[in-house]
Amino acid sequence: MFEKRAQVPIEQRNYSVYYLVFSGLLFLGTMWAVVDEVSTRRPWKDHQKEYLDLAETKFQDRLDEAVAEVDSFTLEELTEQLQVARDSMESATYKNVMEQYNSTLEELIDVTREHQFAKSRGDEAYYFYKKSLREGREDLGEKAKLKENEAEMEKYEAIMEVLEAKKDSILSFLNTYRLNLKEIQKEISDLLEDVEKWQMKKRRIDSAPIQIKQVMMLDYDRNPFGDPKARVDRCQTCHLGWHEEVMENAPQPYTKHPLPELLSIHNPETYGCTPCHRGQGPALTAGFAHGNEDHYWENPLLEGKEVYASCNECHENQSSLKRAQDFTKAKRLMIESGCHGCHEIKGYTDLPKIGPELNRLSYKTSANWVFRWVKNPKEYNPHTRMPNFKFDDEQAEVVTAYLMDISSKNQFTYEKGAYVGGSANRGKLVFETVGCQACHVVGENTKVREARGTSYDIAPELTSVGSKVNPDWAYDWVKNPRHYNPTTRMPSLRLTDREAKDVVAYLMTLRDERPFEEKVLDLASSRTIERGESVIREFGCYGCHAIQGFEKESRISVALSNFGRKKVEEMDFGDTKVSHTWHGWVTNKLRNARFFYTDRIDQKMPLYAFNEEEVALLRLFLLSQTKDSPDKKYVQVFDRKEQNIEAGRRLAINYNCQQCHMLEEEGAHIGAILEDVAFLPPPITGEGKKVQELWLHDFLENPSQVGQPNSIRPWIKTRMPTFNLSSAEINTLMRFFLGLSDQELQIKDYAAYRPDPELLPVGEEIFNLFQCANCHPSGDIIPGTVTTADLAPNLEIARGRLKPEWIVEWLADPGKLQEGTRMPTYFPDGESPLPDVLEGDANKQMMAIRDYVISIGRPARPSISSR
Amino acid sequence: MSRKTLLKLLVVTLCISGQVFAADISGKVMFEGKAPKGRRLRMDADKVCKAAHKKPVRGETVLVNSDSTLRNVIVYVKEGLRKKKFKAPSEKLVFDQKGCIYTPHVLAIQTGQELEVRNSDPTLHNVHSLSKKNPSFNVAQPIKGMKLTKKFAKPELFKVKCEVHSWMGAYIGVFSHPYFAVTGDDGSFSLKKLPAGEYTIEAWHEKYGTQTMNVSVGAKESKTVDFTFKAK
Repeated sequence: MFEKRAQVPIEQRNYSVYYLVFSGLLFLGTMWAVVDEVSTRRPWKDHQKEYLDLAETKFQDRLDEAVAEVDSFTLEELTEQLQVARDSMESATYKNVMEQYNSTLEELIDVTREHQFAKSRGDEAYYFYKKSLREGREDLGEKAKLKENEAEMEKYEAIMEVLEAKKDSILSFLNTYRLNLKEIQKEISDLLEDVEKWQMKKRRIDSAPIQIKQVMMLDYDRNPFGDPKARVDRCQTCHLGWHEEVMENAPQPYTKHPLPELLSIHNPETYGCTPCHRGQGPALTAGFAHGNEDHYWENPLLEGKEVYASCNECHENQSSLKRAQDFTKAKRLMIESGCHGCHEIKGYTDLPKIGPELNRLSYKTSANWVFRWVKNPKEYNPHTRMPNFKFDDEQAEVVTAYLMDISSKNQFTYEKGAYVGGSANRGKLVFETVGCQACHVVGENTKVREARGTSYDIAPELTSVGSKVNPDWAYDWVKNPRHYNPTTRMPSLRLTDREAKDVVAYLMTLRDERPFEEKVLDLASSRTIERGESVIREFGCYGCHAIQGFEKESRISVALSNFGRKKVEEMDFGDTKVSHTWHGWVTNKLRNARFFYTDRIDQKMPLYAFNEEEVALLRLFLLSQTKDSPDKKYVQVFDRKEQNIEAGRRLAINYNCQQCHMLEEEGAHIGAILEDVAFLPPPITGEGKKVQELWLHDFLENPSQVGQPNSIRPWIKTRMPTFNLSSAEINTLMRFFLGLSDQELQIKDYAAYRPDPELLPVGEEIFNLFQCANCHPSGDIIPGTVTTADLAPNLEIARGRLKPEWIVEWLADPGKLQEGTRMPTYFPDGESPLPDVLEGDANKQMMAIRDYVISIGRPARPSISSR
Repeated sequence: MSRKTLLKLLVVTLCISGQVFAADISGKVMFEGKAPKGRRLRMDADKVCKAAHKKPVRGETVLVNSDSTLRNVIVYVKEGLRKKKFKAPSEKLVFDQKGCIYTPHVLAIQTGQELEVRNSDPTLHNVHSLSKKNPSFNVAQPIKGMKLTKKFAKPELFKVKCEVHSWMGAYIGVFSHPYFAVTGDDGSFSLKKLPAGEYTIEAWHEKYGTQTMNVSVGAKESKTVDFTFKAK
């Protein structure tokens, strides 16, 4: 056959079979493309259909429930009333009145029109009359016409007035009918509110189109040339139920967003989804949108709590994010672990070093102890924040030699033997009552550590401090820590000489009885000292400690500013077999900093002992460290107040205020060791609103009145320590507290406040009626009706301490200002229980109490200006 | 569906449905073992309180009746109710402070029902609710005869205490339906006019915790179930 075909001249051959086959193929191919395009490659369409079905069932359920819950009796009654009202509007009376109304309205329109005409005629006459005057003659005819029309207008106005009044009275009569109808209709719609809501929702589902839902953020990103670049998010095409309450337990991708509060400030309709969740916004299949199937997509979806990592893109400077508690914890952990000592971390470069200064160590402890500590700090104290450098004996010896050498070059004088004569038993009592245990753990009492929930302590554990420090130093230190170390965070608890002696005697009994081989150390040779210097330089000890000779060193390790974006190819996994991912590397590095060590690649980062929760938090923090940043207008900019708050917040973290005080919903860990929560140091978030500026200043400068007979709560043994804050620090803290209460710093002479002489006696009367003195002492008058734990603050110092306007606000509703306070309100819902006093005016009564409380107080301490 | 037809439909369905509420569940709460003696309440701190009692006063945490039944247990339907909203009864309950003791020591109330908190003592009392779901309140009543009316919106069981008199404490249970009871001096309870169905009934005691039981009742059926708490 082919031979035959070959004989046919080429132009006469028949190709129809080929055409048929190929056009058939082309047709099928086109069909396939169309089908693929329309349905196979559009899985979101199925999602939308599935969602709509699901939503319809759920809405129907809610509708059924709502129907079942309608009060049938009331509904029936209202329906009847509605009918009656409607019928009455059909009645002859109503129709009659309605006709009257219409005819009056017509009359009114006629008269108004006549009035208009008369006015126009009058205007015309006025024009011609004026014109004649200008032309030097007086047209009396026009003048008469003007008068005539004016008289006519007045006549019509009088009729209009009468008609208006008639119209209004008819209307008000008609309105009684209409209002009645409206009221009933409103009552019915109130009753059926839920039913209608769910009906509406269901109806919307019926008419919902199947379509791609996208959010465009035109200027969210910038291209490399700095021009705005749009970002498109189509996540809501499948994640349809994020805002529907009924979808709370629906399966993904239809589930409701779990954090509606967070969304209320980051509306997905304007911010989209990928700024927080990452992923590939425009993609329309799950694998590509989430990024796990697209190997070239560098922004895969953040999973679980790691989604908080993206908060940092806009909130880099903020160390506390109220709605991202995990991220706040992560930042706190980073600060407390001192990561910033060796690594540059954007926004946290000016934090103080976390370790103590080491220039005068020989006055504090022995060379042998330093050697033991340097070799492995966790051996002496497993909960120290100091990591283990795994130094060998030689390295530990030379570092010790260097530190001892600089000590010998520095002078420090303290009184020898001053500690002698203390009683360890009394010391233990002082130690356990004044507040040392808020920061320092001793022995088995680890309650505060547990309350904090961290693997480390914020201050050294003292279980074997007797084997560490020399008693002369200890006495000097507890009396005034800043004498030895001017930059220490350890405050003074204002121990008396006796108390200090007792405490030192107690501390000296806390000894480490474990055997430790004392080595003979070569500390003096210049070779050893030089070698020590190079080891310190190599391992970067100065990142956490101030060490003489290393003042100008910069951070030893890499900057972490884009660590969250570090590529797997840039990470060295050594000989390990862990998963070659960012998470695999970081998790293992945080668990064991030398995990990826090989015989060729040395690792210098020391070993921390983070628990798994801390590893996850630090990983979250590292994940947040990116250079990604949206357009400026999306980034949080601190105004002055917020700057003040952030500065104060960091200072409060530095001085560990939250160990004792509840501040910004975090803290009061000391509560774990107090015998009664009533003895807790006060919550201080609202301090700016509560106390007078000068009082706050004086108190922060010198809180010595605490524990004195005339202090706020003299029966409390825990002391507010003296931090020896600098003026600048006091100012930062004052602005912090005022900022938290949304108040400006102002200097006010509260001493000039004079109680109202008329209110004063009434205030006293109410004060007695309310039996305020049952709980509140004032000065020497201590209520006998309660135990110490039940006593309330001393009112004698209220005058010099509290802001007068705060007292009134406090009396109105104490629980509003301080959640869980034991002070009850005497004015529930703003109502006074005393209707006969001051005409029952609750506000006036509160002012009267305030004035009385101020009058019983002793005057304020002399203010700054008069000192 | 127009509103009018919907209305009619509603009225009709509602009239047909609400008929089958006729099942009862009742029983007793028993106590096994030796009843602990109540803590002696020392009221020396407040003269008014002390003067109100001639005999020593003991705490009401565990009160066992002479027939070995347990008092102050709340028994209620925990699960199984299909309908979710019930009209609150118009009857007002009273929570009194008398002789520096809360009466009753355990109180159960329905959401939306009014509770009158009363001070019958000529001394300062305050009622501090340690509620979590309902807004916590802490109101002082310094004058004898003072009254305060409270309503609770959410079901919850919480403690109430007085900050002036540390011995004063009570419990309030709030339920979103009328099927609950507090056992009295015969230890009995009864949950009446339940719709037919399967229910989880829970008994709660301040010290001995909770016990649950599954009970199914048919229309117009009455069932008896007993709970037993053991001394610890």
